Amino acid sequence: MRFSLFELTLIFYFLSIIFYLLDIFKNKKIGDKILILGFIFNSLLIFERWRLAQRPPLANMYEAIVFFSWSVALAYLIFDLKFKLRFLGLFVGILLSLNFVFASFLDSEIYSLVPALRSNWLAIHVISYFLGYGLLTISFILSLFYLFSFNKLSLDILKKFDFWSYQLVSFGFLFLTIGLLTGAVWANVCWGSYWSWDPKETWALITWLIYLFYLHSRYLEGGKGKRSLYLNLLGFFSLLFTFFGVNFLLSGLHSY
Amino acid sequence: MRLLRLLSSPRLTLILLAIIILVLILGTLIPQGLSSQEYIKKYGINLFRIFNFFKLTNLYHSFCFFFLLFLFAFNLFLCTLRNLKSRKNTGLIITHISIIVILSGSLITAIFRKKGFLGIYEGQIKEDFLIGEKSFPLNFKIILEDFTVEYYEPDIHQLYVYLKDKDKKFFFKAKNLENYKIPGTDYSFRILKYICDFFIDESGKIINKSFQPKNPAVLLEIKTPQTKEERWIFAKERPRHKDSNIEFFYDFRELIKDYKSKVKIIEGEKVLTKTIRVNEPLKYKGYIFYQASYNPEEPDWTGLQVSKDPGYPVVFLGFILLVIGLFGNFYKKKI
Repeated sequence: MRFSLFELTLIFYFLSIIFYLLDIFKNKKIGDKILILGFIFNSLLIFERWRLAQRPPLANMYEAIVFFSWSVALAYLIFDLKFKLRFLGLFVGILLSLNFVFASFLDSEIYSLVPALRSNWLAIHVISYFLGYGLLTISFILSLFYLFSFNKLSLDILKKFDFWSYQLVSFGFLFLTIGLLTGAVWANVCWGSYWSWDPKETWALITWLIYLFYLHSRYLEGGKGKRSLYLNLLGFFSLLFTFFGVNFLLSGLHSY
Repeated sequence: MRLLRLLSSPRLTLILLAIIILVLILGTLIPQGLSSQEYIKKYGINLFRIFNFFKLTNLYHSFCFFFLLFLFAFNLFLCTLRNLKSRKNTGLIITHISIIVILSGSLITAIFRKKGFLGIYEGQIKEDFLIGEKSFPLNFKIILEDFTVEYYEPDIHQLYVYLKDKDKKFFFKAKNLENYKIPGTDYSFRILKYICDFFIDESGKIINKSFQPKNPAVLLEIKTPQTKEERWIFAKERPRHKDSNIEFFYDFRELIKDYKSKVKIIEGEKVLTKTIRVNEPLKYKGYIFYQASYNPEEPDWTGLQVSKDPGYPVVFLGFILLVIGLFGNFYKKKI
């Protein structure tokens, strides 16, 4: 029996959950290795589709979810290397598996790009956004972790959580900014106006401003701990709304 | 002095940011820029009066919103001055200046931008464009030499199959040269060829007359264990095959790849020819011409958006500064 790259990615992301659980009980370190395998298949899946479609595979919901998962895995793996965030692996594994299960219900056919999307800006704009989304997702998971273990962990560890999640946001914010600006430059090339107050644009700006608020409230008022945690959660919900909600609830130029 | 201290306080920055965020959210909850009738129909007259009073129907262009942004920029300016004095992180100072640059640029856009429309037929010469109903001169001539719509060659064809003896319909999304079996029967078929503009020339040869899908057709090979037949199926006409048990219908979906307006600009002795596409506008003398619309019923007409925006270069400079500043900030932090 032969598996498609999509199925292989899903299988390994799913297996990573089991191994992360086993790791906790048996004190081993296999989960990450399985997740890396999943990440490799996820990369191959994107690469293969890019080759088949002869365009960046970033044009519909299916492709977006696959690429989003890839960025989340990448962000986790890099920051795991740096800060040893392995305890998050279980949650990352669950999120990635759910993403792929969701994607399996979506239309995976390769469609040709509409004229407006046929531009080099597509790859730059969307990839920088997703890299940002990946980092901010990991930061969100960290914040949730912080929230639910607030009374159980020592202040030292909580402080570390806070610091990591801040680092992730500031790094993610950089990519969010590049995504926003390249979007404006592209809009000026394609629609003849760098800002049109289209709902997706406006919500992208709202998300950017919430994270901006988060960064400044920490810097200006030393707002650490719970307040900055809630801001981080708020930023992420706004991000999710920009990504999914706007398409379903508000109409505008970005509906493709 | 006290006012100045208030205006330069970081606390004000946070408050203003929060207000801006809330106003932006409000603007996406209430649809912007509809006509009065549409609002009244949707929300009723009383709510519409409230909207109108607070200018909620054109929030992002209202004076209040402008004032809010102005306060924000001023606060930012004072904070930046203070940072400059204390010679803090250069990257951060650049990012803050960049936001002021971007906001100033957008103010220039809001005041000075000319944005209009130019509809033109092939062979026609135009020297002006329209903003609303008003005409504005261009100071040069523009001629449309050619307008074409470019199409994708489809790689999936939608085919309906009808079997007369069983009175059953099937639907296929078929790729070129791939074999498809019709379930529960001996029939199978494959697409041998696709032609977008089917035409039979004087010598009786089948040719593709143009690159426009004016008469799309596919050549099918229909097989049973005993027989093999080749048949052209057309999207536009449907000749019946009375002596055959199987009938095919070709549901053709055209896929537009791009719109191309080939224009010539003439100013005195100077002549410039360029093709405008959706993602490739034409820039000339501060004017930018964008491919904006077309009319399927008038294939020799194109709609160009014309814009002259002295604010954009400023905004663009701000973008560059913002990115440089952010990277500078990271370089310094070295996470």
